[in-house]
Amino acid sequence: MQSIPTRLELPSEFLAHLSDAIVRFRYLHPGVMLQVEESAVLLSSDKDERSDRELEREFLFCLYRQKVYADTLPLRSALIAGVTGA
Amino acid sequence: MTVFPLKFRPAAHGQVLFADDAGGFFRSDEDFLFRYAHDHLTDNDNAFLLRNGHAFEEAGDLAYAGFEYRFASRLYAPGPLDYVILVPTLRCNLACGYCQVSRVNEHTPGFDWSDETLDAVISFLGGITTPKMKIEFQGGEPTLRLDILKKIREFCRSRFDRCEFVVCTNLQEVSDEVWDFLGLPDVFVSTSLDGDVATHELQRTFKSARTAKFVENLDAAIARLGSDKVSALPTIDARRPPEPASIIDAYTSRGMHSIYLRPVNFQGFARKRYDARASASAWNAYHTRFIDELVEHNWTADVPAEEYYFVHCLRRILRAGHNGHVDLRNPNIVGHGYVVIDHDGKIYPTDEARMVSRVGQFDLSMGDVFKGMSTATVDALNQEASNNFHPDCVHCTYQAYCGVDLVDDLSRYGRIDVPKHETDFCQRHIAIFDKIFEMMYSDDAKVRKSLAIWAGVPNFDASLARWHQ
Repeated sequence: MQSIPTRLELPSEFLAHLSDAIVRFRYLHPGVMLQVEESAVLLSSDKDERSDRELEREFLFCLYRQKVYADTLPLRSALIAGVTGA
Repeated sequence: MTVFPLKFRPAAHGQVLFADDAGGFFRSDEDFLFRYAHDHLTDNDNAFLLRNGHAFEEAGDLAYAGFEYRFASRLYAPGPLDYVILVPTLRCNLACGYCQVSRVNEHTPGFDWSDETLDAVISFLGGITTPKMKIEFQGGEPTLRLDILKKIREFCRSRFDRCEFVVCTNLQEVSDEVWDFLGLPDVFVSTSLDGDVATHELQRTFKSARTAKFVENLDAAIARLGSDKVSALPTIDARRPPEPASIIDAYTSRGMHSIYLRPVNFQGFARKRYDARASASAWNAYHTRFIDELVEHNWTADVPAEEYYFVHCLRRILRAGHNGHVDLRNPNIVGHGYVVIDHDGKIYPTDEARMVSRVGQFDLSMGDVFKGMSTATVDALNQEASNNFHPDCVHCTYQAYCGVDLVDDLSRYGRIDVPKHETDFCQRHIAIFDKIFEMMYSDDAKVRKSLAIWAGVPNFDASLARWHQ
């Protein structure tokens, strides 16, 4: 039986990273169904044993990670170049 | 102020572990994570991050330069070739069910170095320009060709300023002549003791008389050579492992206090009999139980004990430059600092690469001692040897302490682009690092005593595991 989706509203400043976060979330959690509705995502799973709260948190963390990665990529590249001389 | 990129991982009790590319780390809570992700850090947050090396005012300032130094110190740079593993024979007088090194029967011809191969190996060693050399004799059972071991040692002592020789032997049959060789001051013994004697017999010797002979030789080796010259490793079948306490007792009662637990290796002929591919979860559960047992042991023991790899990982967290284990480096450049020369004179970047090639999966050889080294294959592999920009590892809190093991991935999955979190390497190391951080943030006096011993400090001070409230 399909579970009832849980709805997660996303802050506007994160929407730019949503598509990357979705790709990564689906890669990490192929058993979780995910739909996008404007500024929200709907998450559900009939295979995953995690609670709605845990699924929400997993997705939110995924989104945070994508944002941090994108925001800091120039700095990371500069640091890598600095330590490797590349 | 700019914050160096932080990666995060949920920890116990709603806490969150944060770490950066240079290996700095701290724990906080989800409120801080929210503020960090939303660019709403408070003055208190900024002060903490700046004070602890997680932020800088402008590129090139002291905080920035310090971070780059720590970051660079985390990266492995291979040194000159000064460590060579030699396989003078594949023949062995045991037939362990999970043999990791592609052995053949003791009386099978054609699996020893020929005179020409020996000459070519000596010529190869003669071309190495480093002042020191470590030679590890593996097999098969290398003492079956003691004549070769003697010639190699004699040559190395004339060629290099400092030499060390390790004989990886099963100590099953030890002649007087072999004892004499093992007793030389620059010769060390590495052997296998699979936990308690019963397990050793089940996995290796199969008959009580042979087991008794091995135990007699092991005890004689320790008595004659000293426990500092004899090391032993237990290979553990995670499906039916011996009780941790029995392993600790078997080792510490013989004066061996560093125990390196190894899971049955999927490489080599082990794959024919054991489903080691799916054993990471069973192994992780056993390994953590073993660590807990060590903590109990150390609480009252006169001489503490350690699990070698766990301590290695702990030290990689606490200090940069801890690159002594060839399977855990970043980048894990292979084929430079050490090589393996097989029974047929072929050169390999690692012993595992030799096994992968031996079973016909990939040819990871780097030429041979007759025509010289050819590094094209290994150079291609080395281009993927870093985890710094791996799409999975860039998000991992443990990236700075971890590494890559591409040969292991090739062996298990036939490719190197399997999602990291699905690999045995990643699952095992995530479990180890989780366990270490759980212990580092523990208030348990027993845990803190063992951590101090393993970290090499008088007390495991709370400042080693910082909090940000």
